[in-house]
Amino acid sequence: MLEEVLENVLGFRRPRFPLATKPLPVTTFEMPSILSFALISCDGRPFQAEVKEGDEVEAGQALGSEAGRAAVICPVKGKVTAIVRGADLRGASLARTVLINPAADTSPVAFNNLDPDKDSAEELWKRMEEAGVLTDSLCPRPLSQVIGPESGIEIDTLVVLAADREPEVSSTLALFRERKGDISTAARMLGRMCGANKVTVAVPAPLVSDARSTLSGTEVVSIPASYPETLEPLVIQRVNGTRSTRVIALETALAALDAVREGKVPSHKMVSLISPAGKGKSNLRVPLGTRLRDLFQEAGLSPRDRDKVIVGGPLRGFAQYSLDASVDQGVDAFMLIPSEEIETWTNEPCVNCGACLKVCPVKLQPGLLGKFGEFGLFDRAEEFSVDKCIECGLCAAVCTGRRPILQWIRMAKNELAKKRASQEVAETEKCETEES
Amino acid sequence: MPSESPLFTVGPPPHWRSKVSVSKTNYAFILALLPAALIGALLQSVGAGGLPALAEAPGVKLDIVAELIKELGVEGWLLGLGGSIGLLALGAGAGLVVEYIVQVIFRQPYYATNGHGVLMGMLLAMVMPPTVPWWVLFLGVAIAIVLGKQIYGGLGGYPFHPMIVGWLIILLSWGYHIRLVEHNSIAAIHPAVVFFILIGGVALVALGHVRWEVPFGIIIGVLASWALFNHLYPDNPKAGNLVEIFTTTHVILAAFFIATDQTSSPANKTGIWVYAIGIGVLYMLIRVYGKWQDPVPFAIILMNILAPLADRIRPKPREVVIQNG
Repeated sequence: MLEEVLENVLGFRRPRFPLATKPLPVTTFEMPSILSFALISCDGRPFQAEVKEGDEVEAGQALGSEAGRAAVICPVKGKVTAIVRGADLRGASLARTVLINPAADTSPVAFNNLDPDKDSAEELWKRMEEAGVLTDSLCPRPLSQVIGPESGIEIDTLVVLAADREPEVSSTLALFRERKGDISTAARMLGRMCGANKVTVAVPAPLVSDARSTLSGTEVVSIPASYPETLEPLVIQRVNGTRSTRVIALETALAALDAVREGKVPSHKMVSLISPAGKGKSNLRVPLGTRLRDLFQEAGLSPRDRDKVIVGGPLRGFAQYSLDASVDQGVDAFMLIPSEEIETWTNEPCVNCGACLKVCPVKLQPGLLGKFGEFGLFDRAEEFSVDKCIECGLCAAVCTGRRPILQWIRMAKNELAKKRASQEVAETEKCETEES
Repeated sequence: MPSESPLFTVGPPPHWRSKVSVSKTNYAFILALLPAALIGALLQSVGAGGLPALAEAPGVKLDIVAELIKELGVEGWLLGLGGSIGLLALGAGAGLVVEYIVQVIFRQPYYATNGHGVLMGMLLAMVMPPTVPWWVLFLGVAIAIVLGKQIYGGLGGYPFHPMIVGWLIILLSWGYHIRLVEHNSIAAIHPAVVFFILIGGVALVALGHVRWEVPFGIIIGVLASWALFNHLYPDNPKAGNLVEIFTTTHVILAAFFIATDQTSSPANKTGIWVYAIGIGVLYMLIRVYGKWQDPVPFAIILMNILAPLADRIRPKPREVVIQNG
């Protein structure tokens, strides 16, 4: 109480990371002459190529597959001009990449129309797979693996997140404004598909009254318009969710609806451009597969040596090493940080200033966890609930010692996961020896 | 299709970072302290610390220069001002130089320019009387930097406030040099100086360099224990006049500039309150039952000892469900 008065009335400084509350105007990106599709999963598993150089491809045709199942779907009709080793968006080493020259007809319609309210869930899930609907998230995965039959869980509550996840990104808000009428249908359809008892639409607080009037019949939950409240774990907490609650981004839900109702393969992605000054500048509807070089050129930016090119938002995005990487269904923003604005990490000792404690949304001890990671005390990190970290990155953003806290936390998590895996292996081996 | 791409800087997220840094915080402290320090130096030389006091004090510094300048007919207070400003400069300079030398010897990265050593020296100079011999101040700063700070690995590692360590050691070892006249240090010479310290301190809080709980808690601790003591023993005058406590001692300086040191204080909210109120209460306790009228260093170092313990009072993590996707 006293704290709120001091901070709000007297303006005592506390770092804040507000989310965009108004969508910026949308421009549609022309189909570029080359589309590029990396045959790799978001966590670095390579896919099998299903096409070869010179092949004519149709919208809806598989370009890559994994274990006999289509994994990358071509969104347009065109010709495979080359298969090269290209850059991956998420920092994996070079991936096999299919380059396609799109034909004049760029329609993404590849299938017959289904009825989102009447056709059976099996049929709709089959459509998700053949259309290749992936989740709009840091690690885009097939929808059926997240909320569908392959997820292995019974979904209780499904949340459609109609909010942007990072500051200065307004792509979801722009979509919300454009397609308000479809949101209820999409949410209802997905809820029916995954058998959820409850479907809610989460919107940022400033949009709640608007959402309540347009989405009649659908439950609307208000989420504070500040980072990181719109990240999945915190959204789940806000809807009083459990382990069987799942959050799906609005754009994924709409892509699923389009695949069903209009037979479309996901073909475009709404992407926010964040200017070199760090402000949201505009929204672009970009064809999937557009290479970063075309994207930046169209945006009027020319990245130079030592600049930082980021795909994703300013707090969770991926720094790029090449402009050959291309837009996929998990990209919601891109930005360029000029070399002179780049803040480098240093490894000064933690001075216990407590800035990270103030911003941590989960009330962890990020500074301490960072130190545990730094000195290899992973068990201690586990004691201090490192597994509850949602990796929002705010601790590192405010660190006065400029310590790479998030990386140390990730390292600790990773080491703990490895340790658990090896323990499991050891235990199974032990059981097997005992049995024999 | 091989294509040319510039060579980009890559790095892990977050890609945005606040502009606050350790050195900026230290410089903010120094800047916020500077007006009070300069005004204090001026008042010290005009008031208690003019030439007459200098000449009478044992172990007087600059006595040859003083004689010379007197011969030349320079005003006494000007000389005194020179002495007071000289003290500040000596403290700050010694902080910088000693820290640099220690870091060279210890082969540490050179963080001397981050301003922390300068701040320590400046703070120590501000609590010295004008009659302090230069070598006592220098020794105090050197002890603060070497024994109080660098021996533990420098900023971030020390358990006790370095300046308090330096202050205590010279107070207990060469006390006759720094206890000659009460309330005549730069920081406590006049209520106006305390007022400027307060303004600087509030500015630090408003800019977010200082956790507001610390000065608040200390002041609350002092007020509450003063009230309690006067309630229990209405006839006992040992607690003193409240206005006097706040305007003629180092409490305000300690509340905003000394106890707020980040490394030697807790960082969790409850811990900060325990620490800050503890300092306030201990201050009054020692003042009433001890022999020290202004026991700032004792109160702070005792709570420094407790700080790691107080910092173990941590909030419960928020219950979040992390999906594996």
